[in-house]
Amino acid sequence: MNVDRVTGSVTLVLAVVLYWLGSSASNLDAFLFPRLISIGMGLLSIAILVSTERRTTGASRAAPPSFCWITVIPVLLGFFAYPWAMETIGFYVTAFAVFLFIVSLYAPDPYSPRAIAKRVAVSAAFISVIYAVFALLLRVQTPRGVLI
Amino acid sequence: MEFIQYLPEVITPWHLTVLTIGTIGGLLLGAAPGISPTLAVALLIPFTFQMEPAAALILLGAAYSGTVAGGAVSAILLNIPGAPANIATTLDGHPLAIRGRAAEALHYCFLASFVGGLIGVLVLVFFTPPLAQLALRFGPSHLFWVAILGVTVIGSLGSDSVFKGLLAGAVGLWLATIGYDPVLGEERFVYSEHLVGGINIIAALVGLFAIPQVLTMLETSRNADGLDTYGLERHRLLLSVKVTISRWRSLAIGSVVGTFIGLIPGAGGQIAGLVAYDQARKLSHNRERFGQGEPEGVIAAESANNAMVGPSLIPLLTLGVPGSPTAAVLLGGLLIHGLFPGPALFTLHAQVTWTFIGSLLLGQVLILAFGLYVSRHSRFVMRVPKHYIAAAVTVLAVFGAHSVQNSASDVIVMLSLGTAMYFAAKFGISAAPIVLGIILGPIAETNYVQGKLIAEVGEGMASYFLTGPLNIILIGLCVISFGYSLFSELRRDRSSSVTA
Repeated sequence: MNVDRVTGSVTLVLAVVLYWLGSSASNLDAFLFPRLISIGMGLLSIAILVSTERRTTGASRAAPPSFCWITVIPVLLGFFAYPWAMETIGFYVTAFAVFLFIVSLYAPDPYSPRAIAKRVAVSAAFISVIYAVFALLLRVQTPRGVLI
Repeated sequence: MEFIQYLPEVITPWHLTVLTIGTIGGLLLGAAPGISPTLAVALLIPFTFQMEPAAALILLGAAYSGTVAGGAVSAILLNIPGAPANIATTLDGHPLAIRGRAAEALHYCFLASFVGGLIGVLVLVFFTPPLAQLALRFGPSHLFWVAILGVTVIGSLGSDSVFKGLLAGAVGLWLATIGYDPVLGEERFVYSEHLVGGINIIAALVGLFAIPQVLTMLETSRNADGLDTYGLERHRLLLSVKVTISRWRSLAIGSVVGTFIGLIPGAGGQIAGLVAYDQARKLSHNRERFGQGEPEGVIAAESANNAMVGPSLIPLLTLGVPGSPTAAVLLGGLLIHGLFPGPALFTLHAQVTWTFIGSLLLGQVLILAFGLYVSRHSRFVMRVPKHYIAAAVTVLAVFGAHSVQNSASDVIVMLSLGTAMYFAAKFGISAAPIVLGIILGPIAETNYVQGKLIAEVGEGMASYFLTGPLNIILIGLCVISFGYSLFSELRRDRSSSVTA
């Protein structure tokens, strides 16, 4: 997989779609600037594709991206649930749950009663500080939900 | 002089407290690997909502300067730059730590930071008002080109690939068009109820900077092993002062290079540190010792990346064009408090602006005073495991996005943009041009439409937008930054193909 080719192709398709969306609106004047931007995006995408083809060597750039996206799937699922949970359960309780979830799931050390107790304690301490600063000191409004 | 007139405002007990908290907090956050100045300032913005504008800017400015200086601690003790601006510091700072001279290296680092930072802020003091006066002459066409220049420079100079950097800037400009058209009030690209109000700047910049960093830290957190930190020996500060003064050439090179690079929108501290290090090495009598623990290397790199901070705010405060990614975040902080860059900052909001600038000057003294003390204790911060930092950043990011408008939609937008940025970054797209596009997009569009209306009843589009000395200078700068970056990229490609 050539990274630059993928980037250029995906953004070219995106630019075409955005131009089409900007051209199919009822009030074209309001979409003039977005259309100009999508033209610019299209030209830059073509420039990326052309420069990729012209580059004879460029192994470092063309190398496939190295990332363990599977590792981050649980936290991505957590991100999707976060806005819903904070409005339903409460901002600070959700923050505590998310903090504990991340530090438990991504800890390099094995699970043990002592390690779990430490994670719970650190999570509670962190959220308590956040609560003290934002809710008590700065009086910032947050969604309350069922709990806090 | 107004700067001196408002200096007493900085030393009120409240402002002094905020400045001290911001400086110490910045030094500690900077020492934590993975927390860049940009991320630190972005996460701190929500803390400022309840503050009056001057205190808010003092906190953000102190955090900006503090994190840049604090990043040197992990660069020296762990060989991990706290921020990209500290990359050059690792080259000689860490070898000094390996030889048991970590405290000495930190002395050089904070002394050089102090001198560089002081020079940078003085340049800010003297150059900002005349440039702000010049900004009064700017009409819609000039402001349009200024916005385009900001995106062009940060896109081309701040990215590995010119085309990808500019593409990222264009994506940012497009994202800024979501919501209501600023002139006609027409709804655009609102395909979800969460996008009705458009993309909030703070939500966007927190998401684009914080979430990819969180995911990157979590990617490798399980195989993280204990990092070796080097202890601090006892070293007399006076000796370090003498050595630093005797290396005045490196100090001067670092300060001058940092100041000039700070003035270039988008260049940032990483470039300042590396260019100054390279120049100091070329002009040094001890060039063969560079890379093996030469104090001149640390002095040049650290004076440069701190000298960059003040000048990077000049284009921000006068024209609204940030000089670095962190300055772009600071622009978000300004806008949140109803402060718009330009001459009005020095007339209508002179007290806030000069208090902020004065605090940056005093902040340099505090960084020197607290830097050495904090660095002795920052080993605790450096040892915080990545998954704890990631969890804390996630919670603060969600809080930051939500507290802007008390809206869950902003949280959804922040998390979505952040996740998309994480994947885009793997394909060589950087966050800074997108953020700048989102910030400068409305400025560019409003002035484009206004300019178009003026041009249609007068001289015509081409004449209005492409002629006149200011237009030509701004277009020229866009072309130069693009051309220079493209030329450098082609030269780099050619040399890598020769090596291969």
